Amino acid sequence: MARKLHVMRDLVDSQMLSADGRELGRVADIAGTMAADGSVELTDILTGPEALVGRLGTRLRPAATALLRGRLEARIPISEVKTKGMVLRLKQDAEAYPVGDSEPWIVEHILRFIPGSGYRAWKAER
Amino acid sequence: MLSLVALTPSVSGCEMVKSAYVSQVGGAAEELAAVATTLRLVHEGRVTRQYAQSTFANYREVLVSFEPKLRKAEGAPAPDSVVRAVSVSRGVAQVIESPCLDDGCDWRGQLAALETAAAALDEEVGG
Amino acid sequence: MKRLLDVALGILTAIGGFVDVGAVATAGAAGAKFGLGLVWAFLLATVAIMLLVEMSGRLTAVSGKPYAAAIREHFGFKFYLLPLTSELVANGLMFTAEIGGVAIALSLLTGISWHLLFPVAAIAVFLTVWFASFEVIENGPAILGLVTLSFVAAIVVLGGPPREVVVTLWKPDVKPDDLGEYMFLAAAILGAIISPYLIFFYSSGAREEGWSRRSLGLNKMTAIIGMGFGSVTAIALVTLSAMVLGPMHIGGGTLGEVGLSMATAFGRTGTVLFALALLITCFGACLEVSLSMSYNLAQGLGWRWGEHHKPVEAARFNLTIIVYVLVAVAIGLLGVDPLQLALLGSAVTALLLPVALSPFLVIMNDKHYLGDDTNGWISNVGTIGIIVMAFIVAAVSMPLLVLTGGA
Repeated sequence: MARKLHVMRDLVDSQMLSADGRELGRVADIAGTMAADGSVELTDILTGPEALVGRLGTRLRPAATALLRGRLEARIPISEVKTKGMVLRLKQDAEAYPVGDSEPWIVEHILRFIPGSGYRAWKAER
Repeated sequence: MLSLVALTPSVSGCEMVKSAYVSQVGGAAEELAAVATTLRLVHEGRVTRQYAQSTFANYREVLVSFEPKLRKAEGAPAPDSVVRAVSVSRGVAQVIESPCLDDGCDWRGQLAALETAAAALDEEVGG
Repeated sequence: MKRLLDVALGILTAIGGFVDVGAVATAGAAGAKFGLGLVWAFLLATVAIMLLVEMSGRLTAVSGKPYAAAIREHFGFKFYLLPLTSELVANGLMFTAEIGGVAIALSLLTGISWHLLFPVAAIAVFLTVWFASFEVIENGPAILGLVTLSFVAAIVVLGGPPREVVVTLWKPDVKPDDLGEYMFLAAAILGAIISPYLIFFYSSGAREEGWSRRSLGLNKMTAIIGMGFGSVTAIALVTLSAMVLGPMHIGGGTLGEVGLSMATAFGRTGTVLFALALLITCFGACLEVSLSMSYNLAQGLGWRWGEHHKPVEAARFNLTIIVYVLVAVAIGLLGVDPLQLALLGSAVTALLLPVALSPFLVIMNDKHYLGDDTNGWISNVGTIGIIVMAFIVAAVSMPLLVLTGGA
């Protein structure tokens, strides 16, 4: 239990930062497997609205998953974590992770239509 | 939050607030005083034309809602006091609708009417 | 020399950031109705906002964390929703009122109906946030905001407050049935000056400008001198209303009539000065409120944020601003008078102060964030005392006025 609390404090709600310095959201929850002897092994960190809704109440979690069908949820294996703490550094660049896909969507569907958004340079870079 | 609501009748029992009638009539008297002052300042050359137009549009909005609000307001001392207040406000409605902002019209007459009306409403609520 | 310039700029910023539509609305009404009888509320609120602004700058300078990030990390997601929701509600009202203030100011300058100018004002606010750098957003309205010093000049021109007005400073003339309104205005003043949006904005600004421990001296001076000067201009407006509007039985119920005192002092120039002061301070506040909402959400949810990024580089951060402007425009279309909305919004802010700021005070006492620079007990007791007082005054007076249909 003490160890679990330690994990909670070090991981959950931490700011995720990719190797190339992109903010990738905050850790919403963690996932693990329980061995036969009762010990818990941490496997993934979770992010996205479904997991966040689950934080408000366990019973809300299935409803959120049904509604969003896991489209906005992302799992990152714990092995990808380089350093823990309030800022959680990941080993690879932002592109390697299935997170923050809403940003390009917002750019392509909304922001690009407003002058001065910096869309052209952004598009050229990709 | 519920306890706050529950607290309210007991506190208002000590009359910490005016009745709806008094605050409506008092508010209208203050607004008419503002209208009168604005009109006077316009003719003293102390207010730009744009400023005057803008404030009068605002006064109109405030005073248009006065009559319906007053009819709904509770706490009038007598039925005919509402009637009196309404007739006072109607008496100057024309002035507020088309104030005389230039020299070619009777702005002094309008000013006097506004001041009389404000005083009458003040009197109505013992101000 | 650069350092001196920074200090000067910081102070100017604070002066400009102090006065907004809430301050103008409450100062005008308070002075007109109760003379100087509510100056104490401005003074108390000034002490509180000085302490809070200093703290928020210190938090970020020392820990590198802005306020919203610290709430999420320290208290977790569930708790974070409380201050977030309270800010959404209070700032939703205030943002609409501030845009309304800009619209009224433009209307006073042009004579065009403020309802027509409201969307214009909202678009202008959005475009400024969209295009301008943080430095421009912070310093532009601040330097132009010095026009509020004309309130002080007006008092001098009119020969200073007469004796019967001065007396109300310590002997407020409050009739028994005025007590509810007096308390409501006191709450609104406290909420108008102690703006939580300023805390979110200021702590994020410290990050945008890359503050470190070395900035602590600048931070302290900015908070004390800047907020002090800001308070002087707000109290000057109270005094002006007390001197001019009170004796004429004007209640200060619309923003335009609050400016009549400036007309009395300076004539036509006075009306233009008042409209400009209203325009600049409300515009500055619009920028701060909209950004602070977006800072709050982006930091709490861990998105990329900041005015130094191109909009496409911080998409969700900028989308939040767009959504917030649209919400404010939607509320604005209801046509509620900006002054009345500002009074309501300020009182609601006072009511929500404990929710918005108690996590802040916990964090300011946490060595994980501040090391040896945690709060002293005087700041703790002072701030908590004033916040609790604002809450109680708002909680007692608001239902009174709302339920009895007054004001």
